[in-house]
Amino acid sequence: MDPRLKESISALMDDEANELELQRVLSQLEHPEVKEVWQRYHLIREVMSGREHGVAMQTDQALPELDVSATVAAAIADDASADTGAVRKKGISVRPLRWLSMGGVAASLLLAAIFIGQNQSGDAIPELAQTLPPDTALQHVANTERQPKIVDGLSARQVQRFNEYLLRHAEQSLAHSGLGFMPLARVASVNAVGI
Amino acid sequence: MVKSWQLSPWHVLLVAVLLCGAMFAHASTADVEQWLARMQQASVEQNYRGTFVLTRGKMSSSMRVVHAYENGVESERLMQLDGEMGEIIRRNGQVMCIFPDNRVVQLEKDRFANQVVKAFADFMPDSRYYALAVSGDERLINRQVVRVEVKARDQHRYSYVLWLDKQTGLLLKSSLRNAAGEELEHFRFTDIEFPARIQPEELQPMTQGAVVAHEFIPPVPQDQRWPDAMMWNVGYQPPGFAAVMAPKRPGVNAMLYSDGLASYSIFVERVNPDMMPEGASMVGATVAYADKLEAEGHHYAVTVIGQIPPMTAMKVAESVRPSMQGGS
Repeated sequence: MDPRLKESISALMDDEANELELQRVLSQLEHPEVKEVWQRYHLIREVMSGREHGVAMQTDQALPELDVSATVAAAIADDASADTGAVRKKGISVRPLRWLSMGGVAASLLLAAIFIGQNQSGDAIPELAQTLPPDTALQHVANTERQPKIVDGLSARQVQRFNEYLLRHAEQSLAHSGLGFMPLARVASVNAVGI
Repeated sequence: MVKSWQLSPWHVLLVAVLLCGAMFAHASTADVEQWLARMQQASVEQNYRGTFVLTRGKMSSSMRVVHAYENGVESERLMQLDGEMGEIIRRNGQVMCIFPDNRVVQLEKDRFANQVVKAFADFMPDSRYYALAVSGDERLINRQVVRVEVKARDQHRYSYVLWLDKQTGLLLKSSLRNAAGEELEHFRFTDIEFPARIQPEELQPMTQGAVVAHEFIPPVPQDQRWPDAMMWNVGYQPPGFAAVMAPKRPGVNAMLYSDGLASYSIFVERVNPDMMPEGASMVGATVAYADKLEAEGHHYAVTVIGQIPPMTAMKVAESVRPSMQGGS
């Protein structure tokens, strides 16, 4: 058997087959050796991944009937599969699973970074990332970001109170604002309801 | 063979470029500080009259201002040009609001008024908290102006762009933005004059007929049920803000903090039925954050008002605590 074909089958199983390798396996699908190699490789990987318990390795009958063509067809049907190597077939998803879990960690870290970034405490990033699991860091940072309650709509009496405080603040800060009459202009501009 | 270190023309150029950069950065900050000092001085010592528009959020109002400085005394008159006529008169630190119905409202001075802790003249926006830059020359209402950027370095304050008159240093236009870049407040003169002298009549309010009522807003009342030796401790102040008026003395319940540009006041009083609703009420860049706090069974209301983000106001309000002091 052509070693390149074996390599291509291996690559297909490892979700790393490119367009050329996919075509190579396709053209040899009817060859009995291809099916044999496929099953052998599959068995090896299942044993290595600890998934196959108590199955006699030497008997072909103990193996599930693996449909090579279905796998290949699925790979072709999924446009992205040739590029990303995401062959969708249960039982051969060791790699995608591992990636998924790593993606989860990466996503948590990214989220934590965003939260910390919003908190603007630049120093905390390396420290938190190193000493705390991402989820703890996220929760810790999120807790400090309690948002103030925004009051929507004041009664006439409350607007008057607002203006009183504004006038008090203006008179206190007039000499110290550096912006001249601006504090008073602020009072004048909200005078609609009066003081 | 060890190669000896030689001063190549490239090294000289590199050092020169680095030095120039450092000097330029320094000169730029010093420039801004000079302009801000001029702005501060002009706002007090210039005679001027003009019309301006102040926009805050969705509200916009046109006003007329006349400002005079004579024998060390500031006098000012602000007139609302839109809607109902209203005026604010300021003379020697006293402020009077005059309403269309000839009602005059004035703040009652409390005994702790005008006790400034820190002289403001030397209190400038610090380059640790604001990125300061003179960002160019422009022409505005037929005058040459310099554009000054005062950009907040953190989330505790807002960013400003100031357009200052080159000849006098007076602020002719300003824009105040939050961290998201939203403009919260916009101010600009639409015309201005700098007369040598302002006639006293120009500073008189336009009240026709007699004043019908002269009301005084009392200072924030002190609660007599609390111990006399009660003092208010403000546990949190955002970086860069300093107490301008916050004497550490029993009975003081009005305080002022500033970072050289932005300022906020803290008022502590008894919980009363018509206090502001708890939370942040906002008009443009001004926030009033009201909070009800409890200490040793007593309830008290804290109001923080100023041109600071609501988050900062909340943190300040929540940090106010009473402390008893025995003796002096």
